[in-house]
Order: sequence, then structure tokens, then C-alpha cells
Amino acid sequence: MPRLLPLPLALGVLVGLVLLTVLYLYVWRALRRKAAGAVENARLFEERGRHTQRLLALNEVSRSLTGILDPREIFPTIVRLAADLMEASVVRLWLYDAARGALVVGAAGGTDAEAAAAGTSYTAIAPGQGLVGAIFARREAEFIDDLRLDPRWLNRELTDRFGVTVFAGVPLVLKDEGVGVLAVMSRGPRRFSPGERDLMEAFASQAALAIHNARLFETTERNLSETRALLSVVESITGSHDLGEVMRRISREAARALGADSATFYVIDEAIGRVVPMAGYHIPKALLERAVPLTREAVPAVLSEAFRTREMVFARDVSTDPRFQSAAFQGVPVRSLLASPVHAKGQVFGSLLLYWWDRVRDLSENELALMAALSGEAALALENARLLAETQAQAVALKEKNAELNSFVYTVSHDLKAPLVTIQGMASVLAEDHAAALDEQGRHYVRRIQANTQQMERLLLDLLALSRIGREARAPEAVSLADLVDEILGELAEPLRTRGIKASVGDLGTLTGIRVQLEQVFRNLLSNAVKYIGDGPEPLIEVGMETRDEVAECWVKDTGIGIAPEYHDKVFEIFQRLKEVEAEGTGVGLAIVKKIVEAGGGRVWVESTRGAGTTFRFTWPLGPRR
Amino acid sequence: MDRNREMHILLVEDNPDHAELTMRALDNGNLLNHVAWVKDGEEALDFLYRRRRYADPASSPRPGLILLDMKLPKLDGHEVLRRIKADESLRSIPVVMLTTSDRQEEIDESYRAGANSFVTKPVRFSDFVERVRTVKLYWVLTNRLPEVLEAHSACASAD
Repeated sequence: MPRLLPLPLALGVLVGLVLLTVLYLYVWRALRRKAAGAVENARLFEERGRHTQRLLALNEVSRSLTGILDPREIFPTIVRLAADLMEASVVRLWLYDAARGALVVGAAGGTDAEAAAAGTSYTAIAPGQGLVGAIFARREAEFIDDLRLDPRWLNRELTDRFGVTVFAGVPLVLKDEGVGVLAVMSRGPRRFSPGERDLMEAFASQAALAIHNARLFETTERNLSETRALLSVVESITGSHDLGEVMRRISREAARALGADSATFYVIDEAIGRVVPMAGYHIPKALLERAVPLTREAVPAVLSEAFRTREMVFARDVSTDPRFQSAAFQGVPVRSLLASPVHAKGQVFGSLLLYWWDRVRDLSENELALMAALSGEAALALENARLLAETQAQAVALKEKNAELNSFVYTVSHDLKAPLVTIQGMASVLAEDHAAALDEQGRHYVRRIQANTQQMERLLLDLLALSRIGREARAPEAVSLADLVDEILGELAEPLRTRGIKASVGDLGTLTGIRVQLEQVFRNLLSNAVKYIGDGPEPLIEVGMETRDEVAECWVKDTGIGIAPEYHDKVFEIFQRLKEVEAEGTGVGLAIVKKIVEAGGGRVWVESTRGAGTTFRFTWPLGPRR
Repeated sequence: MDRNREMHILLVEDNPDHAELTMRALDNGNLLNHVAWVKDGEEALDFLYRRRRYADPASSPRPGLILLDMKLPKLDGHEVLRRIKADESLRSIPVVMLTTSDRQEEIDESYRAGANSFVTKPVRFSDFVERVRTVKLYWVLTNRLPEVLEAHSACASAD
């Protein structure tokens, strides 16, 4: 017979069961919570992982983008990165062309090469037109799950043939300016998750910045290269003074700077009424044959236009430009042509022409400005070269004139000698043989004839000496002035003694020059001093010399009658003599002194006042032999 | 030196006044010399080669000295000089350039062409006479003429 369990035991078991259940439930809930937590963590972990991935990807992308400054490289790179990031079949980068006012495809790519390569019939999309246009106009991204259902979608071929139905389009904006649209497309079904959308937007702003930087870089590069080009041109064309060379360099530099195939430089020659090709660069044979002087009528319209308006004339395509249907270009496949008149100070020198063969070239504002700058420099260089040539020509002409004059003086003086010999001779014969037949008066006349012929001879000799200076074939040598002056004073011993003149000679050095000429200088100055010594109580003539730096200064000083200041310049002129004194002299002496000193590189002048003596000073360069 | 004193002098001078003065200067001094005067280069050569109007040797005795002016019509002085010096039979006759010029180039040219001496005519007549006489004295008295010439002179003066 089962005995009943004692009550306490039963209670105990019950409590135990309840506790167990509570424990179990607690553990169960905890486990569940843990599990849920774990699941959540896992999910979060995965999410974070993806996020990190995206960040990494984005980082990678921006690094890639900032490394590229070449605009041509950056567009395909953007497309490629976008395609990788989003695993997109087709990616199109639309860029806004301000000049044309439309969006054009800058680059295209995608994981699906075939689809990506498929062309689009819409090469240019206006802002607002279609889906892409709308995105650009509104500056808002659009994510379309099924393109087929969107009436704005224009490129049906992609959707129909390739099944590309998923679309994400993000505007590229920088500082409120629309740069373009990045269109990422994929085969459906697929949705772009929010994370992916964020990623795309982030990427788009990176891309916009990168594009902006690249363009900036390109502009800076271009400015720099243009400045360099300009500098190099200026350097090049101012490096030569030869007119022909300058024109050649201008043609070459302009062609290089603007990427032209050939260049010619036409100059207006008023003298012959022609427009003459003066220089050229890379001129093809066909054009070379036509590079002949042109009459005004034969000048192609483009050139005449440029000359007339003094403005650049640009023909983008000569073959279709109604202005330039000219025989001058027939048979010559020029497409683009730029004519830039070269003018300065209101005068047109000519025109520079740049040619582009077989292709059409668009010139930017910058390039036209550069051309204008080049033309300006060319004009200046030409003006300079012209002035130089003129100056040189004038110098040559002057030299020739001088030589002519010298030669003339020489010949005349020389030819006058012969009759002089006769007059003198006959007069002397008269005096000798026929003295008896002449009375005193007659003899007096004969003496006057003789005296005057002698004067004439002195004059002729002086003129001959004057004309010879500068044409001297003799070589310069070291001349001891002390000896020279001594000799001359010896020659003048008689008049010095007669008039009681004292001569004082200081320390004289050595001058390098033609001995005969230095003799003439001192002889003329000293004989002048004697001639004009006047009646003073203690007549004195001093000769001295001092050196300063590389220049010697010599002087001849006298206590004579002096020369009034207003005549200080005139005395050096030919045939000028002081009237006060009945002196023998030709009036050429000081002119000879001046010419010799100046030919030697020195300067001569006089310090004097009436009644207070005279000092003639002249400088003479020392130093290396002249 | 009688033979020398009887020497003939040929004066080639285009200016009649100068010729007159020169001959006057040559005549003074009691030195008997015969002076023949021709007015231009061609005549000078005619005289020396005894042709045309000087075909008769009596009219063109071989000179022992030639006084030659530089500027001559028809044939220039230098050219006459060159031809004389180029000719075997005439080369040994001393030629003294007597001219107004004193240009170094012309002096050099004369010597290059074979001149024996170069004398510039001074303007002052007394100087002129002095100089001409000095020239004559030198060539006639001091200088010895070549043998060949003396024989010719002797022959000539013997005529």
C-alpha cells in the first residue's frame, strides 16, 4: 500500500519546480536577448563593414581623382571609378559646354562594354531636356527603378536592346555652377540602396571638384605656356636687329605658339606699291609659288581687310567662308586662317598670316589675345629694326659725305698749287730780270704779289693738312712731349727773343698718337701764343700737363691779349682770325688742332677774357692704344 | 766730265709756265745742257723711241736725265715711267719725278713704278730754283751715269 508523501516533501518539490521554471525562463530570455543582440550586432557589423567599404572606396576615389590634373584623363577616370563603385553596366558623364549651351558626353564606360559602347542619338542635351537635362536644370539627383516607365527617358535603345532599366543620375555642381551630370545605369532588377545613393552624391561632389581643379590647372598651364611663349617670342625677336631675321622669328614663334602649320609675313612696300612676302615658316611648296609680291588688287580679301581695319581677321574655314573665295588660295588646302596686322603708332607695317591645313581650328579668346600681343611686339621690333637700319644708313651716308668733303678739300688745295707755282715764279722772274725796267712802285707791287702767293701757299698747306686728319695712314706711337715742345720752341726762337717772351715748360709726359699731328697741335698753339702775346710788360708762355684717371690734360697758357668769351667757340672754326693783330696766319690752325684732338678722342677748349691772357686746354686719352 | 756736261735733259711737263720756269732754273748756273721739252706722255715716248715727229735722231738725242711731271694729258706720268722702265733700252735712264704733288701715296706709287727720285715743286720761286739746280747738280755732276748711256750721250753729242 502506497503511503502518502509527507507534506513538506511535496512542497519542497513544488517550489523546486517553480524555481527551475523561473530560472529556465530567465535564461531563455537572456539567451534570446543575447541572440537578438548578436544578430543585431552582426547586422550592424555588416552594415558598418559596407559603410567602411564605401568610405574606403570613396577615399580611394578621391585620391585617384586629385592625382589627375589632366582634364582628358579625368573624365574617363571618373566614369571608371563610378562603374566600379556602383557595379554599373553603363556610366555616362555629361559635361556642360557653355559655348554651345548644351550637355555633351564627356566620357562613357561601364562594366558592360557592349552596352556602354552603344551610341546615343542624342549627342547634345539642352538643360531641361529629357531626364539628364532635368537633373542638370533642377540640380537634383534622381534614382529611377525602371526607366521604361519614365517618359522623360530619351535613350530607348539602351533600355530596349540592353535591358538597362535602373538609373541613378547625380548633378555635378561646384559653387552653384552646374558642371554636368553623372548618369549611372544598371540592368534590372535592382535598387540603389540609400547607402549607395549617399555614396553617389559624395562621389559626384568629389568628381565636380576634381573636374574644376583640372580645368583650373589647364587654364593656368595654358596661361603659363602662353606667357612663356610671349616671353620667348620677345626674347627671340629682340635678339636680332636684322629686319629679315626678325620677321622670320616672328613668323616661327607665332606659328608655334598657336599651333599653326605655316606662317607668312607680308610687308607693305609703299615704294613699289606692292605687298611683299618677307618671311615664312614651314611654307608648303604650293604656297611658296604664290609667295610673290602682290599688287594691291591681287591681295586676298583677308589681307586687305586686316590692313584696312587694323584688326585681326580669322576665318575658321576658308572653304566655306564667303569672305575669302579667292584665287589666291585655290589649290591650296588651307582651312583655318588668321591674319593679324602688324602696326604701331598708326602705321601698318604688314601682316602676319597663320595657316592651318586640312583641319579646322577654333581659337580661344586667350589665343587671339596672345596673337594680338605677338603682333604688337612684332611691330615694335620692326620699328626698332627699321630705325636702326635708318640710323646706320645715315651714319654711313654721313661718313661718305665726310670722306667726299675731305677728298674735295684735298683735291682743290692740291690743284691750286700748280698755278701758285707759276705766279710766284713769274713774279720772281719779273723782280729779278726786269727790276731795272720797274720803278719802285712796280717793284713794290711785285713784292706784294710774292708775299700773297706765299700766304696762299701756307693756306693751301694748312687745308691739305686739315683734310688729311683722320685719313692718316701713319701709326700712332709714344711721343715724348718734352722733346716735341722743346723742338717747337726752338723753331720759334727768333720771335720769342724779339718780343722778349719767356717760355716755361712744366712736367710733360708721353702721349700716344701720330707724331706729326701732335707736332701740329703744339706748333699751332705755341705760334698762336707768340702771335697774340701783345704788348704786356712780362710776356710769358707756359706749357703744362696733368693726368687724371686715364686722361691727360695739356695746356698752353699765355699773358697775351686774350679772347672775348663770345668768340671762344668761333676761334676753332675755319678761317676765323682775330682782327686786332696783323698776324700771319691762315685761320686754319685752330681748326686743325680741334680736328686732331677730337680724332684722338679728346676735347679742346679755351679759357680767356679780353686783356687777361689765354689758356688753351685739351684732353687726350691715355690707356690702351687707339 | 765734259761728256756729262753736255748731257741732254728731257723735260716732260704739260704746263708751259712751269716748263718755262724749270728751264730757266736749269739754264742758270753755267752748266751747258741741252733741255728738250715735250708737253705730254705720248710725245715723251715718241721722243725716246724716235718716232713720228721725233723720227730724226738729230731732233731727239738720247737724254741722260728725264724730268717727269706726274699729271700729264694723253698718257699719265706714272704710265710713261712704267713704260720707260719696262724697256731694256731705256731703263737705265734716271727719271726724276718733278711735280707739285707731295702726297705720300703718289710718292710711293712713283717709286714702285721705278722712279729714281721724287722732287716736289715748291711754291716759292727761289726755293724752286734752288731745288731744280740741286737736282741737276746731283745727277749731272755727282752721279755717274751708266756706261751704255755715256756711250750714247757721247755719240749723240758728237753729232
